[in-house]
Amino acid sequence: MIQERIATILDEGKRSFAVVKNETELVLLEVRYLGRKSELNDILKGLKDLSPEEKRVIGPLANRAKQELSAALLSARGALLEQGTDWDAVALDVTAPGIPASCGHLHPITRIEHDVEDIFTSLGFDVADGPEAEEEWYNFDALNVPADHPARDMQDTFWLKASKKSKNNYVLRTHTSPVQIRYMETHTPPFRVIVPGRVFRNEATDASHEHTFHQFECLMVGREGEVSVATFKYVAETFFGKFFGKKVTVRLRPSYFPFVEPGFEFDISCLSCDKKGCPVCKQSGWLEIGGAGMVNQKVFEAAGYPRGKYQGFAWGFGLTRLAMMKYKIPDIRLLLSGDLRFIRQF
Amino acid sequence: MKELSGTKKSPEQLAKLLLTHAFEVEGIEAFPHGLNNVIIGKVAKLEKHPNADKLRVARVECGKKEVYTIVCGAPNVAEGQRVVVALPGAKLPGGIDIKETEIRGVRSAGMICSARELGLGDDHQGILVLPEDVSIGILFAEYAGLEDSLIEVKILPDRGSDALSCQGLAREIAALDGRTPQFAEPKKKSLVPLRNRAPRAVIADKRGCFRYLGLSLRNITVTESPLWLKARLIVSGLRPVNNIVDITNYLMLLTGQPMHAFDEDKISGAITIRRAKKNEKITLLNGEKKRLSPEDLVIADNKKALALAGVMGGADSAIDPKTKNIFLEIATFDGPTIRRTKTRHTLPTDASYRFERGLDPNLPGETAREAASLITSFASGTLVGMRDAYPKPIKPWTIALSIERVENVLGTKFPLFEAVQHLALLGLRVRKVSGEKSLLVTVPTRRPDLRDEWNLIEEIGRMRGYETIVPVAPTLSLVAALPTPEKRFRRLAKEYLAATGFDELITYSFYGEKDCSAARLPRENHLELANPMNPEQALLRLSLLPTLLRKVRENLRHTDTLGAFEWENVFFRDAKKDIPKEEEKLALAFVAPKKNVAEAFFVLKGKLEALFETFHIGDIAYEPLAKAETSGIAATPMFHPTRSTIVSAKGRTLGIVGELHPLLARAFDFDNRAVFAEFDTRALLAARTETVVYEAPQRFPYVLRDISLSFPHRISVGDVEKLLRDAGAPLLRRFELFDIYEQGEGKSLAFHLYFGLPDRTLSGDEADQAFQNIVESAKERFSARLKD
Repeated sequence: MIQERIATILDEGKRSFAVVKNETELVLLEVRYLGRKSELNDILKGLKDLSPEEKRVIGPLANRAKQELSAALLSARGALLEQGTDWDAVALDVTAPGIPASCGHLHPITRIEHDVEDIFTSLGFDVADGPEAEEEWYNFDALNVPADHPARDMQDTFWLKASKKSKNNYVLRTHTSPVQIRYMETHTPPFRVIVPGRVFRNEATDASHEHTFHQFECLMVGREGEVSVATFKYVAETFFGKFFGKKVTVRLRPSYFPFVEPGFEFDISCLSCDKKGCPVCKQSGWLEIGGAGMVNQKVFEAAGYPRGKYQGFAWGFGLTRLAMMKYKIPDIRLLLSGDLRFIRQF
Repeated sequence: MKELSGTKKSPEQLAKLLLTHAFEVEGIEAFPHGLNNVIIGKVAKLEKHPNADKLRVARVECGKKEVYTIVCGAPNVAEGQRVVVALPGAKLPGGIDIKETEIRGVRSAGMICSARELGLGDDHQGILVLPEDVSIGILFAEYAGLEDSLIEVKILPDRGSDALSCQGLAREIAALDGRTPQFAEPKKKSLVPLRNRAPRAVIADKRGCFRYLGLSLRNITVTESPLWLKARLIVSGLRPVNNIVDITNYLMLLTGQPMHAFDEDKISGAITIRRAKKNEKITLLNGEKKRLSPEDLVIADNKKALALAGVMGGADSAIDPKTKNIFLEIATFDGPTIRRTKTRHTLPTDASYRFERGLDPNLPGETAREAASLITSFASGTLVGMRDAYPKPIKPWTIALSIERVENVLGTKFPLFEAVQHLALLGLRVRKVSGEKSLLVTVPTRRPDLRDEWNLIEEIGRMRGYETIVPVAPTLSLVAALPTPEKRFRRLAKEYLAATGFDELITYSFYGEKDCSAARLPRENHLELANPMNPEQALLRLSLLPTLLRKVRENLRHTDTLGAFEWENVFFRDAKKDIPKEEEKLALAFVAPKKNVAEAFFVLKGKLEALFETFHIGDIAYEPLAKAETSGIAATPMFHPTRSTIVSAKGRTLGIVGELHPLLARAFDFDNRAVFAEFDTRALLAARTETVVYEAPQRFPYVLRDISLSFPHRISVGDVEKLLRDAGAPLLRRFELFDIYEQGEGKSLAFHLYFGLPDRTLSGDEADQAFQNIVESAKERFSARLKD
């Protein structure tokens, strides 16, 4: 009996929802078929008084009927809305601009610095820094660049006016390498560290030279045999591979920097042509990146380590140059121009 | 170079070889001799010009069928001569473009050239006549050795002793080619004639001069150099002068040993190598008069300084066309001494460049023989004497090299024999230590850069080529590589600032006196550069603001509103120790849009309050600048005295925020839409609450009351807030300012007050009592009136 009744309600209800004309009618139908006082609801409430056998049959039947009627109600409401709405009248012009929210931009050098720090941090490197107004000893002598040596010509230097009380001479650091010494003075190998920072060269500015730019230093030292030229190649290729998101080959060429021995100039395979030769690399297939080498034992000695006990590599190059490469910035002077039309692109 | 090294490689192959194993190659180019279409011919027939007395018409054979008619005015032209003919189309180094022309009715198919027209000297008296055995029809440039390629090689600063010469580079190329060089080792036979008539040479300063070798040559003739010598100098970028100077220059290029020729008749007595006397003066070859420093090393005779050692000769003892007898100096000076003199007098010369890199004291002995032979061949003359002061002869030294260390440093296997081979090719003597994997390596004195094992490892590594080293991942212990709190804070705060509307600027670390005084900063607290680019970049910044102000102002030309920050170091002089100090600062700038209604100050303050909340910097106090005691903030004089605030947290000063002092606003051209701030970043970091401890929300409902009080003008919101905290305790749990209304002689402040207790619901009466306390206290302390 009840089964038949449920079937009838369901059938009637579905038909009624299908032909409903307006929202008032719909509300009435909702009350009649799905309301608290509806017949179906009474049946559901009465389930508890039935025998277990009846319950097993009627319970699911009644619940399914309620679900189907609810669905019919929703689709009827949807249909009514479709018919009764002038969509164009309420349309938004979505092509009009959004209301400006405050939004600033990090300097591209900062972005690159963060990228570099993330890669090296993931490889277990510390991030250190040191003073920009540096003692001559840290900037030159401790790095095996003695006074009156032609190697000093490699870096044009800003000197601070002599102090009256202190015997030390001070320079604006010409590279981040003095931090190598400062770090070694307070740490014992094995360690690995990078030093990003601002450096200064007393040279005239043009599209590719700026007296203030940013560098970073990478220093990894272990006991003898732990950190070699092969390790350096691995770390350098890993870094550039992650930084540029593609496989990069490192090429080392002999060079001379007083603080390393052996010393290298190092290049990476051209990012545009991969060693084939193109206008970006001036047909050479390689891009010049910077200097590197195995830390000179004299530098270890200056930092207070015994000669011959440790072995490591040091490596420095321009964050500025990386930024220019990555973002294809044609003129180095844009970086410190302070022009927001430049900064706001990053 | 090909001749010296015996290499068969093309210039491009050589460049690649050098680049991979030795030196950077900056460029390769064909030498621009400008002698295309210039060939050698024979004057077959010579006739008088029909229409001109001084001209003659030559028929010049330049091959079997090529015979040219050329009009020539030179007096020395004669039949049978081998001459240099410039054909139409040639553009000569002397600046003449050759065309076929008609000269007084006779067609001339080119020009017979003089040495000057060919760029080979000053001789313009007549045409250049070549020896009779020269074959005709060939290019003159090829004959003269000018058809050559130039490879520009950057010799590293530590290789000045052995590689800064043609022979040195040839030695290097040969080694890279796997051969020993072709040029012979010097003979040992003595040069000194029986009766030594050279002036005596005394090294008075043994720290400045390691060896002084001098040759006396008599009865020489100063004249032009032979063509081959001129050509070699020209290709190397030097201008031929005369045979003596050219020979010394040539030998310098060839061997790396600078020399200087004195006119011996202008030397009085013995030669002394000594430091200059105080106020001693010298007139140099280039005409400059120099007052010398007692640190300068000079070559002197009995009377005066003849030359600035290793840098430049003096005018008084210079050779001239009449010179008959010369004294040729071939010496080794101390690099740093020469470098200081060069720098002191700004005299960079080819000689000083080599000396300051440190030369081999054994090189003069090897070069003297060649010098004597060249001068006697090309300037006639006889060697009549030699002096060689060499107090401490340098001998080759020996380094012990362990192959294990080679492998450790390079990170690759290295067979012993391969190391031996590489070192031997470089001219090092290698002995195996029996039973051990190590070598004893004897280094020739020309390689002062090879002093220890690591120097040798570099030689071995580069000879094999670093490209053969395979990258190897290191085996490392696990360490937590977390940036320091300072770095983390800087990064997070920068990212926060960028996300909330501030663009990051990076500006120079220095400004000039003009900006310093415009910014009302005390000049004496600044560190100063001894050698600035220009006066506008002479002072190290005490505050980030002056440079930031300039950049912000420039940007206002194309934007109405902006927010900007810079996070960098400032510099100051530590007054006690008188040494430079640095501090990290955060400077902010905000310029409100023109149609803005709110005060720019409060917009920036709001943004800063959000920053403080984000980074858990609590207990912030804002004190009007005018009332603040000395803040210790260098930028204070830049700010408006009554429209700025010192910000502190828990009693420690963080920074300053506000409008510019009216004088700065005028100097830097800003109005009050622009507000600035500068913070000490270490203080900000220190003010952070490291760990937040959870506090349960109020469980029992607050009793809310609104209060509106009017105060005299001088009472600040901060004063009233302090009053609320004092008088409202303990029941007043929170309050919120919702209205400020300024009127006539006073201002009204309206607050929402939230009364409550943590453990039970507060009754209305209890709240009213607390409210009344506040009102009473406000009346008493600030003569406030309660408003309805």
